[in-house]
Amino acid sequence: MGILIFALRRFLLAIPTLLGLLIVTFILANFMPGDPLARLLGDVGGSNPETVAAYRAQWGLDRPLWEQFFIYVGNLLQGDLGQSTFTRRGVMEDLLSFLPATVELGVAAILFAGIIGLALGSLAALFHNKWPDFLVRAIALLASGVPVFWLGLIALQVFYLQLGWSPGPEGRLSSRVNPPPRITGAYTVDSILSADSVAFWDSLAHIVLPAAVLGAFFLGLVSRMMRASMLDVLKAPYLMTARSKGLNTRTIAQFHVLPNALIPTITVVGLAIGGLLAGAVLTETVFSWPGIGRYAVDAAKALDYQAILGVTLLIGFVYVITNAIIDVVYAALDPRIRLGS
Amino acid sequence: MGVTMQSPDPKTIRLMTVDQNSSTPASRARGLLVAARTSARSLDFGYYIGLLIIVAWAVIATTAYLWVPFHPTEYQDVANRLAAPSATNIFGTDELGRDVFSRVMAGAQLSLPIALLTVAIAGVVGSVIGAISGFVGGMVDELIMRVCDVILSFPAIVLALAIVAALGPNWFNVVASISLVMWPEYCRLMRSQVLSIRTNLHVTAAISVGCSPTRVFSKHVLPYGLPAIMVKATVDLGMVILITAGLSFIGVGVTPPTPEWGAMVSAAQTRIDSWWLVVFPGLAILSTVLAFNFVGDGLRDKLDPQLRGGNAKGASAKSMLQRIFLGQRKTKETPA
Repeated sequence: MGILIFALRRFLLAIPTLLGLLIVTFILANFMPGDPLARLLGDVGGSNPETVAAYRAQWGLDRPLWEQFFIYVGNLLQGDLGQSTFTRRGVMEDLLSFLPATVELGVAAILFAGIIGLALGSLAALFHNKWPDFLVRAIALLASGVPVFWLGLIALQVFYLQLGWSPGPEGRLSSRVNPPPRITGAYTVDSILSADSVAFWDSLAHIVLPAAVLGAFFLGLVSRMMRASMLDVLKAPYLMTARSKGLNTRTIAQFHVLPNALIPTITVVGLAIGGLLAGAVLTETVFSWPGIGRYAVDAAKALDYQAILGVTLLIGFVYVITNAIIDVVYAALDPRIRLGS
Repeated sequence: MGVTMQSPDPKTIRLMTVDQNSSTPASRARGLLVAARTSARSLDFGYYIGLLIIVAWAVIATTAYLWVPFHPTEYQDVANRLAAPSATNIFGTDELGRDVFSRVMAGAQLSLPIALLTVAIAGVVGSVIGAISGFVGGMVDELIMRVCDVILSFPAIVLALAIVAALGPNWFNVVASISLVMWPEYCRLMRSQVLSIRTNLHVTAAISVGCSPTRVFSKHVLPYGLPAIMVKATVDLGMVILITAGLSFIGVGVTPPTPEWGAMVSAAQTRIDSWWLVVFPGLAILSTVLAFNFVGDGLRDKLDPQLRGGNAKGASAKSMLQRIFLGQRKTKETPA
């Protein structure tokens, strides 16, 4: 099976799931407490039956449920996720303005965890059952059980209060620094693109600690996975073949060990994207990071249901799509998957 | 453990993979994740340490109110607020002058039952639906699996956030929303167990001698599927404690003044200079979660019928308890 056909099939498979996501958020919207009309109209309008009927007709609430669902999907396709009651803006508009901060944080966390985790995992495998191995396993173990919000506060205690190495939980930039002009939405990237060195260093200083905290769970995951798959590869017959052919260590590491050990690691990292988004909700709360996680928490506290549903839908959507992409990448990396069953 | 993709070791794969029958490579790799965890530690030592910690917390959870030095909510010594750990308040006092040690101990009384109840609901509901899915097959199976896919597309904490926000923050809604998010995982696991076990020879034999479907299921399939569910349930207890604490931390779980670990850390958020307010509730969370992880991984090893030898009897309650506490395991490796 060609990789294109595989990709096509995999993305077609995602469509029913996406449809399911819409149904779930639609059901949730209908279960949200209180009549949305009463909230829209306030006490005065809500007590007048004629006004209520007029509004019901206008918003299609007098139609059968399945028809309402199609209206909901129709609005969605036009980019309309409803109004947020606490920012008083469109939810879609809100999400688009908060998303870049989360993406920036998430990518930074994955880079941090990926690079250090791969190094630690390989180290542990190469020094199997020696002290570096035990150290890496202890780190991975702690990372699997530590509450991310707690780790964030501890990190602030140490690196901000005690050592003074890191800025406090004040978001993406110090208040005295102007944000760079919006190009990608990621401050670190935008400040490079606009050659603003002050904003670059300031935004970099602000992202290090939250990214490390958010990435901690991944760090454990990656190093554990890399260690296990590398140990497995080191035992593989093709490695013995490579050695007995007299290839040098570097060639073996580069062409035989790394590519094979990386495949499961990459897949697992991809799978954990959902966990990353969940962690972002907590990390952003701790560091006052203005991303969609913090937006979701603020919305939940303000009982802003449209906004919560918007975030839920967005995160579910991101998760389904990334899962599909990872499967395709995986198939591209590993011919056994696309040629097999 | 078998990490190689193309030829999963049949001995290990049974308990390892969450859903080996699923069509996507990513879902296959989930099993690898589990396999990697197992191989990464020396199991037995951690298993007993973990068991010890859990028993200790369970005792604390049931008896805390009898022996803690100060009442966790009612005792407030405002004159002595935000005091650092000392001989009287060994974990210090919080912003209302309450004793942090007493509150952390009392917190177990909430976190552990919430976790138990949540996992019990998700485990039972998910396993039943999963067993139906695996046995009935066809359209029913397809439909159930798609529903699972959809629910699993939301990170637990996000969907729980939406649900709890809708229903209002209290412990019951936390239990309801997390179990709602969690049951599909058990459903998939049970389904894959059923699918793989029912092709075993002993099941074919049971069917051919005329056992009723219910008997085949309860006597010949369920005992083999149960260990995997139990392993997952143990690890999930820690997971639920983490999620509950996270929800309480962002203010949509258990709300103050109830002593709950996540809520306590949350209250300390604006006072990070009083380190004891943050450190101790967090250590409580960390220790329970790690303990459940340890025990879960150890159990995986002890309960795996495939590792116990050729004449595996399945898991009767007694034999399971024996293996949990006496750690009798790996008597003989089954020849592949």
